[in-house]
Amino acid sequence: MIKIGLILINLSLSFCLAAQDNQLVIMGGGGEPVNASTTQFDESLKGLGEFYKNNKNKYQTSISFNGGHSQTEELITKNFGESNVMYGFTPLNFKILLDETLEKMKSMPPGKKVIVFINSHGTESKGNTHQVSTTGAALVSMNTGGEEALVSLDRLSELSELAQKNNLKLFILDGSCHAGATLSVANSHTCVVTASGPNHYATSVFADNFSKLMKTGKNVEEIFFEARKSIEALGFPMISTEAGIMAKDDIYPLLTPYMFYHDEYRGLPLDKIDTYLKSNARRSLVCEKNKDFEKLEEILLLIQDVDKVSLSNTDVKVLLKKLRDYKKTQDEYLEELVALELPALETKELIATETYPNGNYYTHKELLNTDYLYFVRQKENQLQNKDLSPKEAAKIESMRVFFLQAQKVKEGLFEKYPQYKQQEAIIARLKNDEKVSEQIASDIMKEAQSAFLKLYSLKEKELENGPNKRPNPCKDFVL
Amino acid sequence: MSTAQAWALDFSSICGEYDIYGSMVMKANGEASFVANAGTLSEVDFKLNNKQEIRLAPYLNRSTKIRARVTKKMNGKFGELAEIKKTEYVVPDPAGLTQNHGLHLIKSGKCK
Repeated sequence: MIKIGLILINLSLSFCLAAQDNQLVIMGGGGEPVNASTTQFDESLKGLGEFYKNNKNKYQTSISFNGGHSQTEELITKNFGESNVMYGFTPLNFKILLDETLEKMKSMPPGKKVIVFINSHGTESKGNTHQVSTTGAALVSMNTGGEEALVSLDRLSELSELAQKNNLKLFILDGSCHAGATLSVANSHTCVVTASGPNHYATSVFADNFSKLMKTGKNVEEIFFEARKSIEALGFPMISTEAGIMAKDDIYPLLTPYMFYHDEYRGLPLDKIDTYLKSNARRSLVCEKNKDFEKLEEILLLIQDVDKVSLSNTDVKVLLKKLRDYKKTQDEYLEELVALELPALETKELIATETYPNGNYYTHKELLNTDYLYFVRQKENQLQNKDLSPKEAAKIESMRVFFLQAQKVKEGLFEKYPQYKQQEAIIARLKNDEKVSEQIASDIMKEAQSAFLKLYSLKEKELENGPNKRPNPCKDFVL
Repeated sequence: MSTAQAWALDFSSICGEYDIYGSMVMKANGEASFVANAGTLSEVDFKLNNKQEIRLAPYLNRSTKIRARVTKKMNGKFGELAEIKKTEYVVPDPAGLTQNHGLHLIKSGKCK
């Protein structure tokens, strides 16, 4: 009798371990202001907390999230108390968590599942993916982040390669800005869902909604559709299925400039439209832009035509109208900028100082693109170091003087070529122009959702009728 | 032009002229570097001297291609540039659709 009991206990224990072979890894919450008690990513912890509670026996869960925000930490303790909690999403914890996950994946039986859920601030593309912010410092740029507080998501490819090799199922959700850059780690065993494209900001709403829709029995592709439909905020969510990549490749590059806008977030500029207009103010590029717009119109009208035949009701007219209105605004700005006839940006200026008599030639483009005062501050900080030898200090001082001189020449450019000043004034106008505001881009993104989804289903049909049916790791990933 | 993406095998001992895709970065201690393949196992960190820092200042944290001469063997992932011949802004290539990342050997030369 005792023997049978022991066997049963043994069996149930091994059943628990086997069932818990799946992994849920949650990370993010970095780059938030240190004096706050919460983060903007907390909402997704609630959805994930529900999923964790209902799936404790199926998923072994690890979480490295935030750090130093009292209410967020309470939320983590309350929702994930029995899991492997690493307070603080530090670069070291990120590394440990990835190393541990890789180790666990090596011994997981084929067919088992791994979920990696990332919700943090994200930079523009860097390396093969992009970077996300960690604990310890608030974000200093919404485009590039801050050098010291970021980790690269390139290492996710180690997980996806191992998933493919060991026949595991991997699902990665990147809820950050510019998350589309993470699609590059997808493969036949890895589904990647992102809150936005590589060129655009996102809000955490997509990841929040996604986490709340994560219910047992649902597959990732269907949750993606549900979450995408329910968002009314910024972002252009993407999925790594074949149809998703095809649909994205067709319209995302063409829609990209019309989802740019000017705004601020916690005092940080959201200024993609500024950069876009400045770098496209040339006749030849304006022509290219017009051609691209015609292509976009063609695709959208095609979607509408196919829809009429199938009697479903996708109305791209609203999207087209919004796009045409926004293009008109952008064209007006471009016309003004082109008319300035800016001097060739490749014109060179020599910067020289006593200690650098041969100096350095910078093009106007380089001068205008450089924040020389940043380098001056860097040198001033270095000079604070009391351990510097007189020789070292002299070298740093000469650099400081050089960068100050470069700044002077840069300012002189504005006097010599008033067009540069006029360009600055035109761009400064964007800040208060409602016609290039977040609302305009957000409305376009919202309307673009339905066009994307329609195009997605068209691509799916195309693939179904095609000769080679490929795996769909998003549909195959059932929670 | 031959590609030296698999530099980990023997790149550390190949000197010569390279096209290097990466970004100039400023470290916390104020030192400047040009980093290629950032955040990957193939990361290469070229420490910049003062003149090179001045040359590359407009490329701070931006996706960049430089043509440079390397005349010293690498010390692990760290290296030095003997000369920077050309610099230009490039479009980042996160999906690796082009060859615009890492190091591309243009012409091999002798190490000093």
